[in-house]
Parts: sequence; structure tokens; C-alpha cells
Amino acid sequence: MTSIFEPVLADLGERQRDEILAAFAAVEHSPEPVPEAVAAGLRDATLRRSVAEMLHLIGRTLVRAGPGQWTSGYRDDVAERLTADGGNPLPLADRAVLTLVLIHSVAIPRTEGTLSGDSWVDGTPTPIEELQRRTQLPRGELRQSLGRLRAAGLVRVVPARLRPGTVPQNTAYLPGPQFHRLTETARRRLQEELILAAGPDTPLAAAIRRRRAPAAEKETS
Amino acid sequence: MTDDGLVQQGLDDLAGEAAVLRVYRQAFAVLAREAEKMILSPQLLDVDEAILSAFAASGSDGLTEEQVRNACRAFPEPTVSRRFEVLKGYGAVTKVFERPNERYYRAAFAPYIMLLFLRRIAERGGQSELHQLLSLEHESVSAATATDADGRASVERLTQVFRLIANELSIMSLGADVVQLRENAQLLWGNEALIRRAEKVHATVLERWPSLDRECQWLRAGLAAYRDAIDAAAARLIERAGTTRALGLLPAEEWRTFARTADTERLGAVLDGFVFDAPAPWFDPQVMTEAVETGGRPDTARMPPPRPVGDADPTETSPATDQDTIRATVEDLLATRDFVEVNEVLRMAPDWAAARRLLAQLTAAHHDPALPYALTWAEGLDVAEAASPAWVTPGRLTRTETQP
Amino acid sequence: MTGPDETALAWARARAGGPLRVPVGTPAPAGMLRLPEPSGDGAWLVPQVPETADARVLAEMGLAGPLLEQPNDTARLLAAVLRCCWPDPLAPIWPGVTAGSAPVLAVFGELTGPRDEMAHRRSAVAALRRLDQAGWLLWDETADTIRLGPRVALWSGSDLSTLRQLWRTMPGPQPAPPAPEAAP
Repeated sequence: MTSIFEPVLADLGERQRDEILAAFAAVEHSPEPVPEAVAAGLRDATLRRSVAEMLHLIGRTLVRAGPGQWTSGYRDDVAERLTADGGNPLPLADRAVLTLVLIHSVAIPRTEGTLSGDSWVDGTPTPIEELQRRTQLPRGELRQSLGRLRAAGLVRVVPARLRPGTVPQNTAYLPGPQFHRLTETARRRLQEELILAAGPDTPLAAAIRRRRAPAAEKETS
Repeated sequence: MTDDGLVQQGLDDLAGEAAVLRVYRQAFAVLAREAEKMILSPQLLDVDEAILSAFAASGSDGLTEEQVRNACRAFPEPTVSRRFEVLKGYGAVTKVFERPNERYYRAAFAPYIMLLFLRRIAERGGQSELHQLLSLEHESVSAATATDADGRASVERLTQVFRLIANELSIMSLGADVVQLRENAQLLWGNEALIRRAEKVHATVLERWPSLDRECQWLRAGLAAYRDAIDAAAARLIERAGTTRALGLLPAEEWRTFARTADTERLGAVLDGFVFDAPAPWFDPQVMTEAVETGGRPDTARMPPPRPVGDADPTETSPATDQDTIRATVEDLLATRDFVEVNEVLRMAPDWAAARRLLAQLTAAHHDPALPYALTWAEGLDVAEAASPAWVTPGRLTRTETQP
Repeated sequence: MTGPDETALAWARARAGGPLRVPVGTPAPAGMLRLPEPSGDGAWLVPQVPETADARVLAEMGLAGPLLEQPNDTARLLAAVLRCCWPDPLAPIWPGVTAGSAPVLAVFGELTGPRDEMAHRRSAVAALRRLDQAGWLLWDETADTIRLGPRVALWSGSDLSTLRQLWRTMPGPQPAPPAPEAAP
């Protein structure tokens, strides 16, 4: 079968092709990052390079999601082009709910100093009641959005942590495994977008805007 | 230490107390003569507070040392006695009447106020206190009775304050680790409002006493340094805070307000520039066949308990296929042969449901890499009017390796 | 450095938004299947990777697939849609025909066995929504009709053999059911 990937695979032996294709399949389809151990195509730097080239052809890139862990994500230039015209395949309402989950489960615990590490996937689960209580978003829509976000792996459900003196909660939400797929650039940009939105008048927001100022400005100064 | 482990505390409390202690040490370092008199454990602050509270509740008679110990019996007695001595030594607690054998003591209110301020400064980073200080300075330089000496003193105090903050920020942005950065991020908050207030003091002083031009110039330089330090610190923080840690540099209240007040558009806009994957589950025809196969069984016709609409149902597990059962079934069908025709097998089944189950087992046998069977199909229908099922596709199940 | 080419963008778009609906005459980018709309109004583009690089490889590597709620009922509903919207299993699976939701739900009911009416409906609607969101079927909620979705084109030849066999073992949609008995 001649495929879009022939330029990468053409000169390789059968075995190498298989290993590269398997590694490609693993990072593209596994919702969680793939340990190098399960795929020779990820362990071996040369094969891994071919996997990255395959991904590049279809607008994707290899993302390192921890020591010896790999997944794939959108190329930064592709993500930029895809959203350049203001369009976004994820409905606005779902994006709004996802932002809420990021604030309650990651940003606020960060401020309170209760998180270690530097990951978008770890956080303090936010019970659905708390998401509903502290927002302008309509309740019914919020629940429906959470269902869709969950199906897409953008949020995940964990049993709510029991706190002494509180009524046990039903379900609680954390960012889902799709956040492993963000490139380093995208993860950093996500942090910046949240700060720009929640604290536009803070020095941090000003610093972010300065960093983003066109490179031309830096050259003249 | 004797009061170790005395009070079971959550992490949050500990962090809060550490902050109070830090401010306490900073605030009292300038007064303390002897290191041993400085509070080094957050619990001791609670002891001080308990002692002062006991006096507040005691009325005008005051308290004996024994009554104080009794009121503070939640804490270890030696600790209470030690703190009582320290408070006495600094004059925070004094005898009601200055005479020998006087057993009753009273407390000054100032130390308690100081404690309250400490806790507030620890919580809010001293921002509101600084705002209040600036208001007071502005009031004092605006007063009709103020002299140029007042103006000079005021401007000089503010210059020192801003230079100190600027230095602290600069040093922090150069060397601090992430935890320290987060603890001190409060220094970055509300800076524009602070600068505006300081500029008001500056303008008033310069207008009333033009001769203080030189002092005012220093204040302007101090403010500019503060502004630069803020910019540099914020830039460094953003640069080295990784991919989520800078989130911790915004006050929690700022996050909560945004989450509470922003509408769908503003919240959603945060993710405008991000692309995520649409859900793309794969449906393996073999798995579908198994799901259909197990469909009629009573155990899967679960009645979920009532729950709110749209809430997550517990995830079902895939039907387990028992390799041994499949192997036994297939071997029965094959007997001693190496292959068997599928229509022959299916026509033996009493009804279509049974045929369906048999077929599922054959297909499972084919798809299980651990089992030595292959299922091959020819296209076309084989119709037998009287039989059940009435039609089947010609197919053949083959054993791909010899049985041991 | 030049920006991403159109092929890369089309693949990424399809990953982010599911199968792409394009106007008539749009050529398929490399590696994408082009499925004409039966109405003649444009076509769908579906990315197709070699079989040895698609989702079924996960199981071989011992990796879990994406989380799917109610996987069995969802699979059963897809099977029911297959039975109703693929009238001739020897014909190509795309585009199939449009079916009303009633016959699909009836076949689904046959496959799941007796259930409380409300539970039956709820699980059917939840599965319809999941499959529609993922492009495995197209559910027109206003017209209450269902069609196979463009993702079905990704089933391989051997997949289709298994599905044909599954199709044949399922009870077909009944002609219009008799009017329900009048309530006392």
C-alpha cells in the first residue's frame, strides 16, 4: 500500500517499518503516554526520528511526557494556523468549562502551594458541585460539556477527596490525559493565557505581553 | 521540643503559620537583642495569643500567673510559663499595681494589635498596610499644620520603603527557588496602585515645599527602581516558572474572582489558540460481535440507580472471553478434522441466538492470537428455506497447527 | 521556514474536529479517503493510516484504548445502526441508507434484551450521542434519523467480513410496529 508515509518508510527494512509503524500507532492512539519499553520505535533514537518524521507529515509532533514516556501532539505551527481565523473545533461552551476545571483544579492549588511537579495533568480534583456553584455558566450546559470533555479525554473523573466535616461529594474533575499531548510551548502558552485572562493588570501579565512583543522591537532597542 | 506534635495541623495551616513567623522575625529582628527571645516556632505565637486573649477576657482585675496557666492549659505548662516570662520581660504583661507581692497582672493592648497586624501582613503580604501607610503619609503632608520637616521625613520614609522592596524583588528574581518565588509573589501584587499613591504624596510635597526638590527626586528614583524591579522580577518569574508554576504567582482571590464572574465568552477565550483531539474511539468488529453476543444475558441488563441526568455512569467492562471455553468448543466441532464448514456448524444450532453465540466463539477463536484457528469467508449467501438460520455465508474454520 | 502544508493541516483538522465535510470538487489530500455525500452535496474526508499503524495495534502492545463509557451498549447500538442502515451487506458500507430512530432502537432493544423502557431509551440516546460525536454515525436529532458516519470507511476488508457475519446474525428492523394498545 502506498501511503502518505512512503517518503519516510521507503528505504527501510520490513522490521524497522513495523517497529516505526507500531510506535506511531501507540503514540497517536494511546490516550496515555507510552513508555519506551513497550515500543522499540520509541526506544531507539534513530527509529524515533522516523516516527517524528511520520508525525510531522500529518501536522503532529513527538512530545516527551516524562522520562522515557512519549506521546504525540499538534505541531505548534499547525495549531496556530488551525486557530488563526478564530475558529476552534471545540465548542466555546466546552472550552469555558475546561478553563474552569483548569482554574479550580490546577491554578488555585498552585497558588495555595499544594502541588508539586510541573504538570497540567496533576491537580486537586474539583467536585462538580463546586464547579457549578462558583460560575456564571448555566448548570445543565456545564454538565453536558463535562460529559463531552470526558469523552474526549480532556477531563477525567476521580472520586472526590473526603475532607473532614464535609458531605462526601459525588464526582470530582481533573484535567484529562489529552493535556499530556500539549507541546512544551503549548503548555507554557496555556499558563500565560490563563494569567492574561485572570490578572490582565498584574505585572506578570505585563511581562508576558512584553515577551510576546514582536522580535523586531527587540532588535531596534 | 516539648510542643512538637502537640497540635495536629493541616499543611495549609502550617504554611500560613510559617508566613506569620517569617513576618514576625522580619518585624522584630530590628528590636530583638537576644536571639533566644525570638520566636522560632509557630506554636509559640499561638501561646502568646492565648495568653493575651486570657487577659482580654479577665476584666479589670487582671489575672494571676496561675490563672493564666489555667486559661492556657491547652498548651504545655512550661511553655506557657516561659512565654509569660518573656512577655513580662518586654513589658507586654505588667503587674496591676507596682508593689511587692502583687499577684495580679494586666496586659498591654499594643502587643496584641501587633500580633493581629502580623497575621494580616503574612496573609496579604503587607500590601494593605503599605496602602494605609501611604494614606497616612498623604494625610500628614496635606495637613495645614505640616511643616517642610514633616514633608521631608515623609518623602524620605517612602523612598526607603520603595528602595527596600525594589532590592528584595531584584534579589529574589535573581536567586530564589520556585517555592520562595511563590511565597514572595505578593510583593508583585497591586503595584500600580501603590505607585499612584506614592506619587500623590510626592506631588503634594513638591507643590507645598519646592525646596524639597532634591528629596522628591530621590523618591522618584526609588519609585522608578521599584517599577523596574517589578518588571524584571515578573519577567524572571515567567521565564523560570516552567509550564504551570507561574499560575501560583497570582493571588488565589484573583483566580476565584475570574472563575466566578467571567461569562462563557471570556472563559472560553482562554483556550482559543489551543487545538485538542475530537473523541475517536475505535470499534473493533470482533468486540462488537462479543457485545452483541452478551447482550441478552440478564447480568448486563443492569438497572442503574437513579442519578442526575447526564451524570457519568459507571464504566462497563468488556466481556471476558475464556480461552479455554473457546478452545473446547472449537475442538468439539472439529473433532478429528482440520477444518469445519461454518454453515454446517450453524445449521446444527437450535435457533439463531444459539447460532449467533457459536459464531461469536468461532470468530473469537480466529482473532485470539494464542489460539491456532483461522476463519475464512467466501462471499455470497447460502439460503435454505426450511433451516434456521435461513441463510449463512460459506465459510470455513481451520486448525492452523497440529494439536499436541 | 515555511508554514505547514495543506496535507498536514487537513490531517490535523480531521484529528481535531473529526471527519471533514468539504464542498464538491475538493480533492482528497494525501492519505485521506474521500467519501461522496449521497445527496451529491460535497464529500467527507477521513484520514486513513496503514492498518499496521491504526488503533487496533494498541491491544497488541498491551496498551489501553481511549476511555469509552458504556462500551458494550455503545457497540450494540452501532451494530443496530449497521443492521438498519446497511441494507445490503455485500454492497459497500458507505453511504448506506438513512433510517428512522425507531427501528434502530427496536433492533438495539433486541440486542440488549428486556429492559426497563426508560433505561433502554436513556442508554440508546447516550450511545447515539457518543457515536455521533465520534463520527461513527450521523444523527439528525431534528428529523430523528440516523445514518452511518464517515468513520465506518476505516473498517478494513477483514473487519467488514466480521461485520457481515454479525449483520447476518442480527434480527432485521421490523416493518412498522402495530399501533400500541390503547391505555385503559
